[in-house]
Amino acid sequence: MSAPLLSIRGLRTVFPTRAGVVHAVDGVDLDVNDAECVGVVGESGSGKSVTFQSVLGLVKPPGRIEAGRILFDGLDLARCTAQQMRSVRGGDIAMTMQDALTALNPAFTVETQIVETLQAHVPSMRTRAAARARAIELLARVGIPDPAIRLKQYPHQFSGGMRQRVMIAIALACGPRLLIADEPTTALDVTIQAQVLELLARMRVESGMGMVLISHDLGVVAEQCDRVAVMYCGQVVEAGPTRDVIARPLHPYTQGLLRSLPSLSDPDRPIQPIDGQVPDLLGPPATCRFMPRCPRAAAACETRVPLLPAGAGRNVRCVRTAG
Amino acid sequence: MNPIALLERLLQLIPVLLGISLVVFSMMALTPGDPVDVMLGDSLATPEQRAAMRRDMGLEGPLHERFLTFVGNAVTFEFGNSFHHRRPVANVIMERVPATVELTLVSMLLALVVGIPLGVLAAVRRDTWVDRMATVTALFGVSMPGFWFGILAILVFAVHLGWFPVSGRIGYSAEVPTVSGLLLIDTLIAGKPASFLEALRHLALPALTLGLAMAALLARVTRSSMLDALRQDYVTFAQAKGLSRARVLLRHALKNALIPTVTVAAIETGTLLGGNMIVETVFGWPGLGRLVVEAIFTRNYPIVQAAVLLYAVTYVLLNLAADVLYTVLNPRVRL
Amino acid sequence: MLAPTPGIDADSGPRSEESMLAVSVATFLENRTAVACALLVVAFAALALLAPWIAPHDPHAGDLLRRLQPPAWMADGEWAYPLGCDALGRDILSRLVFGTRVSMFIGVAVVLVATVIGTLLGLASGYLRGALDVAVSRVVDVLLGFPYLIFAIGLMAVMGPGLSNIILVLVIKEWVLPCRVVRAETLAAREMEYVEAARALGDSRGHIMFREILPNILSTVVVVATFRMATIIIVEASLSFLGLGVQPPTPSWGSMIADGRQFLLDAWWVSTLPGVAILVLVLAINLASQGLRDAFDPGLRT
Repeated sequence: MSAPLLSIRGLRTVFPTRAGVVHAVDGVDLDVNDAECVGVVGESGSGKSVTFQSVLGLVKPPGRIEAGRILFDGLDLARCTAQQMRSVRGGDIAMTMQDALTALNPAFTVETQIVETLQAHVPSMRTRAAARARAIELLARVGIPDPAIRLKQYPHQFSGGMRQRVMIAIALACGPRLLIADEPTTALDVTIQAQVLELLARMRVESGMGMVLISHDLGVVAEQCDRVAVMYCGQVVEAGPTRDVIARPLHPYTQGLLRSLPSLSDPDRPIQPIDGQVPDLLGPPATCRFMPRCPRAAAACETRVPLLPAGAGRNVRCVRTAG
Repeated sequence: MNPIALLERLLQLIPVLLGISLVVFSMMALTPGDPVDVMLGDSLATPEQRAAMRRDMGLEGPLHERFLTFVGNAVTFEFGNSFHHRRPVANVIMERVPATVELTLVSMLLALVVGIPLGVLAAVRRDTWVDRMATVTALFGVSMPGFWFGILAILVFAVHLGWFPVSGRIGYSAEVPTVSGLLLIDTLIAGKPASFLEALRHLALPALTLGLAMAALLARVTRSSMLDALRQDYVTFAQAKGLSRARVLLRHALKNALIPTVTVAAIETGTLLGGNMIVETVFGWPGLGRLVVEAIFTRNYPIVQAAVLLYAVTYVLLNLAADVLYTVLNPRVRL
Repeated sequence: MLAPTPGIDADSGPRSEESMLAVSVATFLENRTAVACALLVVAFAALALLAPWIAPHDPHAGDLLRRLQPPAWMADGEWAYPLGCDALGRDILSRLVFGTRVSMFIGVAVVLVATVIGTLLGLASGYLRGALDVAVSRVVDVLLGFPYLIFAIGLMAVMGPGLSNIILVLVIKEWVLPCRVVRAETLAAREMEYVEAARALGDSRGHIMFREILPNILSTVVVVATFRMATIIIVEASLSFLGLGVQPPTPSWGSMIADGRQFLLDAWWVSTLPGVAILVLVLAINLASQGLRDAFDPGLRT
């Protein structure tokens, strides 16, 4: 088995605040392989976005990476130089954000925003003409009609779905090996969501790049991703092939997530929300984080629980289910 | 930018300009005392002669007629004669305008060139000593009366250190042919570098004083709008694209941050125009502002009236220019 | 979808108005700089009120033997006249203290009256719209077309100097600012649900304006007003400097600075010290206002 494209080990990212230090990411291990789509699921505050902001060094100060390794192509992104990071960003690893309306600069045309990415990474795009031609190609590739005209327009002149496509075009401009899509469908209408997901799938297949799909929506992830990682309270609590995890969830949190979704096959099954609240990330307890809400909690859960293997490429952070 | 939209905006200005003219006219029409009496004093003019003079000066007749005459005249720059100079007001004012224009332009330039970069620096180096120093300096700048700063500047730099002259625009010995009226330009055109430097030396302290408050305010506004811009998602996305730090800061963040700054700068030009009078008085600068102040004390109302009108119209037009600039910076807004 | 859980962004803030005010006051009190400055402003106010009892000498009485006497810490100075004397031998400290009355009184009076007028007109034109709004907006546009000092100087020139004239002139120019702010806020507020709800309940327009909208925009109005006070004090000082302010013998900081100009070389303190007073007061007002703004709306803090 070849080395993974991206390998995160023991990542810890913290945010010092007046009330104390928030451990947003507290010991995350995650791998992404070539041409693979990994879904990362969790609710707000689970640390899923911060994990990948850390990968690209985009954590806003005073937040910082406290520990861990982020291996990409032999480089440890947690420790590389600013120069190296800038080269990786956009060139090798690209990211799209949740809301294209705020992610695209309202003061510049779409052309400017695509061309500047090209000129930052691709030597053959030095001339304006070459860059412009490539930009038109990219817009066409993501399915934007009349690309030559739309190139000259501003972000606010596009519809929500079109804007998301523009953002994807920018992300793919330099042929990255890994695309991190942070909540790509959250800000969109349901019908548009499907189109965008299909676009992403197509792009991935065409280019053979790896992809990370971050979402709080298990349904989105279930359809698109080869593997899935479930995050809770800054940690990965379960990981494995998507179909297996959904068919046979091992961690009580994952089980709770699935139970709280309406079921297509059994529409009358009552939705069961998970009891309790997410604990404070200020001072995470030295026990299993999910313990207060877990129906299967026992005395054995009162220790720090590592991610344990659970057969066939699966991992679970639970002493009650693993093995 | 749409020329028709611009024309529409100019037309929309007309009611405002009329309103301003009305206010200026009313100011003068409500002057207590009779200007003719003021001018003639206790001289032996007969009542008939005085009445004739009043008619000549347009002081007779119903108010609305006088207003219409006033506006009609104003548009053709006809403001009557100055009480004391015994020459047309328009001429007297035009003689002094270049000096004021030069001072105001240089001050504005100074304020922009100092204030905006200072604000950007403070935002980028937030909470470091650079930021604190810039913030404190800016705070002092807006809390100080301009005329006091000017006096202090004279005391320190002119009187004690002797680096700059105490007052005036240029020494008497300089003979510079007038081309534009702006000494900085005329001296260069006439090929007199020594005179250019002299003019610059005389301009330094007044421009610094006049531009100080505006620079301080611009620094504050730019800092806060820059901090705001740096928090936005588009900055994160620009970073995620692997753009250089300079490009992210100066192109992505600054362009958006300048939007509120331009708005404030436009409004602050009013302070520059008003501050004219103060600074010219403190530094003995031979411009329009000092003329107005003198005219007030000599009750030379035609001058005061014309100058106030001129200042107001200039301000309104400057604000329109700022609106145009705004649409360039912010493509979501059209003129 | 997941059942909603608060997560780390849980916000269980206070609901009632009283406790929101309490939170704002508490936040303000935590800001030591702002509190210190607010106390300083109060001290100035006290100085103004108690001037006749605090000032060591009569501000109008000049002893020509003491003409241009230096401050106490310099040679030839004496502690009975700690900040020296002006060209007419009058004690500068006493004149500064009395000058506080002019600055504080004009500052407070103008801002108070202008804010009341501006708020009323802003509420009315923003909520009732129609011909009133059009008329008010036109007047505002015209008044805004004049740079501040130009307008003040022009009017003072024809009306003549004096305390009541200054207040009148400054109020005429000043009300447009609170009016614009209040109008903008009212326009935004009237689209909000609480206003719709009030309308649905049959509340009168007056009730909606004064009991529903006004309390919500009051914090903005207060913050704007405190900032403006600083500006007004400087404007008044500028007018006095030019000789268009309160007339002698009433001491005002601006005119004191003007008086000292000709003696700059020999007696710098006559012009310098009143400026320090202005600087300190205005600085204190600005910092206290900033603290106020941060306390009322921490989201604006940068």
